Amino acid sequence: MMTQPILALQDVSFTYPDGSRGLTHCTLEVARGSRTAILGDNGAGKTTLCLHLNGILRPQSGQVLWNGSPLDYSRRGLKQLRSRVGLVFQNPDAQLLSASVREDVSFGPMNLGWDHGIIRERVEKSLAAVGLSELAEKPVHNLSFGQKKRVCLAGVLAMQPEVIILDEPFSSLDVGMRRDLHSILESLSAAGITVLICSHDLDFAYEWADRWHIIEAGQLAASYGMAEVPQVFTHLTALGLGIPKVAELYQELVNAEVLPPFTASPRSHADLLLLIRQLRNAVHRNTGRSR
Amino acid sequence: MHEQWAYSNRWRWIHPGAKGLLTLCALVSAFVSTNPWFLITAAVLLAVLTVWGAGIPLGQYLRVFLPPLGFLATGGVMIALSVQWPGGGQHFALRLDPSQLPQVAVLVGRSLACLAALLLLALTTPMTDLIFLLRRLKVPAEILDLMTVGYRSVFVFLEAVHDITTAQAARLGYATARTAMRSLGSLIAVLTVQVWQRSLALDQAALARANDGPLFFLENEYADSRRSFAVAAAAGLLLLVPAAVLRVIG
Repeated sequence: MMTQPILALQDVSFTYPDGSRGLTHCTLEVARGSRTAILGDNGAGKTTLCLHLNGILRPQSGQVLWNGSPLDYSRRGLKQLRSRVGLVFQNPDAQLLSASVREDVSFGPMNLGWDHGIIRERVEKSLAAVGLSELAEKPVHNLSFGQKKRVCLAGVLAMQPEVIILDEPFSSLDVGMRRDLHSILESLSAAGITVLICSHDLDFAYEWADRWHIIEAGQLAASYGMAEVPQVFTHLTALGLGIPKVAELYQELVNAEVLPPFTASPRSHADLLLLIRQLRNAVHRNTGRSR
Repeated sequence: MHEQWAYSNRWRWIHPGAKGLLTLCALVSAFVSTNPWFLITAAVLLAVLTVWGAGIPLGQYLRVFLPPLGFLATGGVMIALSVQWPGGGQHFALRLDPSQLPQVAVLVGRSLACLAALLLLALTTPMTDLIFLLRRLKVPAEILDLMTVGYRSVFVFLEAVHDITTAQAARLGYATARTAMRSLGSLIAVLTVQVWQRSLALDQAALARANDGPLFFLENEYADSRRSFAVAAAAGLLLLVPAAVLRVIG
């Protein structure tokens, strides 16, 4: 039996007051503990989707479900939802409210009315989780872009949500910061947190996610588990997404009979390199033995 | 930027209430006293305290302290001079009026003491701590929310202004007076739209973190704040008592 999705959209439609399209009859499910990538072009409706999952936008038709029950849009219901579903926006400068790192991280927990001792402890733990403990005394405006992004993430972590949604978390991050964020995401998943990432970075989504939801024109255009992705290259191209580079390269190497087909396709550049090196070492050993 | 020192001086972790108390005592003593020597001594003591006590570099201190002196000098000169208008057989004349000098001395002394007192607080206390202090003093939440978001936004928009003007200058937007005026106009237009968009985004960000009322943050913890208050009160009395005594006897 399938377990109940932690979050689901059922036939949700939303149009912004200025007439621009948000979502059109969008239906999708997010499994508990999953790593879900929401893919799609700019303007496809990814951000509108995130804002629905956190209860900031309310569907004009259809409904959003939390553990199978429709969202409660009362003040209390929303507070409860937002304590469980954390949302990290794309631009850190548009979401950091206080000029003090520690104060800003405490903002969410303070809104939940927790005991100050517990909040203090949570704030320190969250800052440590994103590697910012040493910068906690610095003013926000003296931090780099990547550090500000981490403050935003710490602010959501401090609320101990069950689901964390990140809107384009890798935009404008340098290589080192991408690596750091990637390992933070791994530790979130290891802690059992359901993570949703909106992105148009196909290579990252292929490496990290276990499910893709592809949004096009405000609708769910396709949904794939990672094992299915190598079989649907033409469909991905037709959707305008392209193909993950590693998957494409691996497919070519297999077609050219350079690599044998493995049961599990490599999902990252590092995985593919490892396969090639293992194969080369095996060949070396064999030729050594035959001499 | 002097703002940076507020975060990294030796007095950063002294309770802002204690620093506020000393500042308040200094301000009251400056208003009580009419003795220019006392006022100038108080100003010097407060400046020395800020520079040596809190560890604000002297150069940095003077950079903030000196500009207001220009206004003070102008004001002082205007009071010290008396003007003789033409008429009744007299020509127009501008001359120093010795009877005004004591008044000028008090004005200058009082201004210097007040300036040094306020700088003691402003240079050693970050805005976030001042807002914390005002919250303790029961200032209405609406004003504090505005201060919090306003202070944060200053830096966000300074960065936006810098980026936009750089982009404009890169395309010769400030090459002539005429294009500069046009660039300035479009800068203001773009910023106006940004302020609007960012205020909406900030509102959504606050909502996303379960906010539905005033903005509350965890308060800082200050070590040994009772001792800080006692020291600040003692230092405050050292200024208040002589000011009061001199006023009574003088």
